[in-house]
Amino acid sequence: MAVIRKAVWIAAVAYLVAGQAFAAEKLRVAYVHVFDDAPVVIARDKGFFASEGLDAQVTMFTSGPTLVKGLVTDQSDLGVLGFTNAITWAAQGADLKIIGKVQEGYHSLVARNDRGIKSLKDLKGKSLASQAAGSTADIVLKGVVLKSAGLTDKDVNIVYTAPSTALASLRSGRVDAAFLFEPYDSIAKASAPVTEIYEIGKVWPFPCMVVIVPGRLTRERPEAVKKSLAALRRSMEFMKEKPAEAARVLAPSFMAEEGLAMEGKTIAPEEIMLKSLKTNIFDWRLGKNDLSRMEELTGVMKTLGILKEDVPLSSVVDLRWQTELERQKR
Amino acid sequence: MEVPLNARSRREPWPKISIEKLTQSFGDLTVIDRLSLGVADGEFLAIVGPSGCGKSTLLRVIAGLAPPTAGRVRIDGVDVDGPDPRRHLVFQEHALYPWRTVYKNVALGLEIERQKPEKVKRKVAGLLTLVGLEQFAKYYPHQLSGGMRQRAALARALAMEPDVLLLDEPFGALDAMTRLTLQDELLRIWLDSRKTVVLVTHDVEEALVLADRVVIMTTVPGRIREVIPVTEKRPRDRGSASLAALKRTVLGILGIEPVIGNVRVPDTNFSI
Amino acid sequence: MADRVGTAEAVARGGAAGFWHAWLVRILPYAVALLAILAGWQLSALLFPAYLIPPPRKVFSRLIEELGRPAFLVTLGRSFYRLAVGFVLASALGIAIGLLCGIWKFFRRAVRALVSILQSVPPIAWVPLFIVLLGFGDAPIILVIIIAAFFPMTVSVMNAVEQVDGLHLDVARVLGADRAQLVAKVYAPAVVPAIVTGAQVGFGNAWRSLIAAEMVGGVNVGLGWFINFAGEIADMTAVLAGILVIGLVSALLDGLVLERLKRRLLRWKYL
Repeated sequence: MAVIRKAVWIAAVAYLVAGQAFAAEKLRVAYVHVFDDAPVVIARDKGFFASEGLDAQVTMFTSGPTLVKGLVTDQSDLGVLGFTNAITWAAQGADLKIIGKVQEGYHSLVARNDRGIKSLKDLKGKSLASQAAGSTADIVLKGVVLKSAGLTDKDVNIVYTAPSTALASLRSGRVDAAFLFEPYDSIAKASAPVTEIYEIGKVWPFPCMVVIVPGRLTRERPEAVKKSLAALRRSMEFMKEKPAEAARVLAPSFMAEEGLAMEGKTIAPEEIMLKSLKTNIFDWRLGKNDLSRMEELTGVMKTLGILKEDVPLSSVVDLRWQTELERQKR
Repeated sequence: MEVPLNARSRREPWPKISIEKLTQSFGDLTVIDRLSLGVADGEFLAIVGPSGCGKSTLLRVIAGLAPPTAGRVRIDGVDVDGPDPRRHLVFQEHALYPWRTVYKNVALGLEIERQKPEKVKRKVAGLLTLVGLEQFAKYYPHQLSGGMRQRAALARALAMEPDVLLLDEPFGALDAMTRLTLQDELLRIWLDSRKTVVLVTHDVEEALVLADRVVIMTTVPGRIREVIPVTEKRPRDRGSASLAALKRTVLGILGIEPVIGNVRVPDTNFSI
Repeated sequence: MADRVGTAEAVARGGAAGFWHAWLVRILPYAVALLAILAGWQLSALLFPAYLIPPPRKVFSRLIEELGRPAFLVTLGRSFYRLAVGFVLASALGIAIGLLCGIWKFFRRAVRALVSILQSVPPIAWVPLFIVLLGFGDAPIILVIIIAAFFPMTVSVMNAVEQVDGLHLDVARVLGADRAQLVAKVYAPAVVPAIVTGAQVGFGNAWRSLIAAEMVGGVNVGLGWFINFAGEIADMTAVLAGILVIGLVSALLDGLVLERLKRRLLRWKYL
């Protein structure tokens, strides 16, 4: 009897100890509800976070600027969002680090066929629906896209709104043009009389969605940082190797609210997902070109008056884990 | 009770105001019961009675503010079917508009008639002088005393030059001295213009000092109990014996016995 | 009124010292309240990093800086424009409907029912719908302001109309007034105090809803938009400066403009 009790005791303790060693690490992951952040959804729904030993609590945000506030106030541990958000807050003194890339910027400017907009210059005096003011997309719109046509945000009537509202307005003709990303871009082209007159990825590729963490995390939980990057890398590889399956996994997250009843044309959600997968470039590595683009954009932010002082990129970008992962040929 | 017209009115073919079998009810409550009364042109009639006997209601019906439940009211032979400035009703509460100056309040009726501004100015100035308020034209009602407000209300009434002036306990809310002053003023104005006046009051002395006839009403339902003619020449001496006798008579009819300066309430052991 | 009397009395009693004493007594509560707010603010600024809560000094200097920038004045001006249009329309509508309710019983009941149903919806909840219906720009904002300011005015006027002294109406009737004259000469002046109350409450609602609606979306200028944008680019100093402007404008417009208007319209009460 005594022997059995002892055995049970030892087994219990061993289980607890072993359990601790194998217990998944909790991580509060945040992402923006845009197709650009698809790798996070894949990692969650295909269990890539779990297989890296992370118990990821994934939260969705409607915009990067909103998400980054969670990183700064210690409500999220890791975020996937536009990189300019890290810069603006770092300029104010917050401790944020960019540790990896997720997606290259894809934003297309679509214009209604009946408004006489053939090139960027024709946008003068017209109305343009765009995303959250102050987001990376917004900065690129004002500082790169419009600038390239010699326009400022005073020349174009920019309205800031949620992408679905932008889409609806474009369809109903309330705006002349819209600056959209996937899947709204594909939906717009399939359901409204519009033409794409500009796509930034073709003309001026830049790193858009990156992985941002509070500096505290890199110091206190470096393992968690590495594991999350690994999970995201697996996601992106999966999306490349098995696009059809990825499309199926992503459809419920990104197509649910769209409702595909569009003036008689029925398009399968997975089709839209596949198109979006093709047009977007997902890559987990920040390269030299990416870094120089980021420098350029930081300069643009200063010109636009969004940044009051210079922010040296080296103080914000920390590629140690990326380097480590590159060495680890998983 | 049928009331014969007094001697003076036999000159006229019709009484100025003719009330025939008037009944006024509010729901189940009958306030006036088959009342008939004639008022001659130029007569000063007073109505006294206990509170709640329908005196005010009677005035309102004559003024045209309430349609009769049964019976009819005629002025100059024509049925009354609505309010008209030619038969003006002066209320107990002065009902001056607090947002208007005294001048503007008196001018109200003339404004409603859309009279020319110069005419209005002249008339109002004259009336204010008549009631002794010329100094207070630019004042607001809440800056005046009760007596002054009632004078303004009177001026407002007279601005319309009504043939019939109905007064519902106009001096009831004032102190005794002001009351006496205003009674004299009213008399003076009436002697000047000889309008037909119906005065409702609870002050028996007031009725006797001013009126040609005093109508005594009973309480619910309201009926005419008695009509006392007062033939003494005006201005009447309040302290005279004849007036005192009439007062005792009226009070007696009303059921109040004066006991050597005190008043004993009947059916009780009280003396007030 | 009592303050003025107190001041005169104090002067009579104690000369110059008495005057300052009276003035101080009047100003002191406000000063204490403001100091308390500033103290709390400074304290939080010490506890939190500067990029989350900037200290008062920084925000004040930013405010002065912004007031000197034409872009900021343009944005502020647009907010004022929307407020003015919306508030004036709302007041006019509220007064008209309130008066109508007084004369027409059926209308009164219908409006009461409508008000009780719609009143509880926060004005900015309508913004997304209005953007869809009216497009982007000033129109949805102005409509939201109208809704915010309309209800207090209507209810206030409606109640006042119901409480108009029957005696006043009788007097006018006896003097031969027709229905229109009753409205113009009795109802309208009698409800002026209610209009002023309705305006004061409505103004507060309108200003708040304006800022909120500008933040929700569909515009690219305005004080609410300014604050929102600043928040998006991590400029908390500008956010707090914007909030300061909200408070200052409200205090100024209410305390100076509306209060003065009230005293003029209700001269007869205060004389």
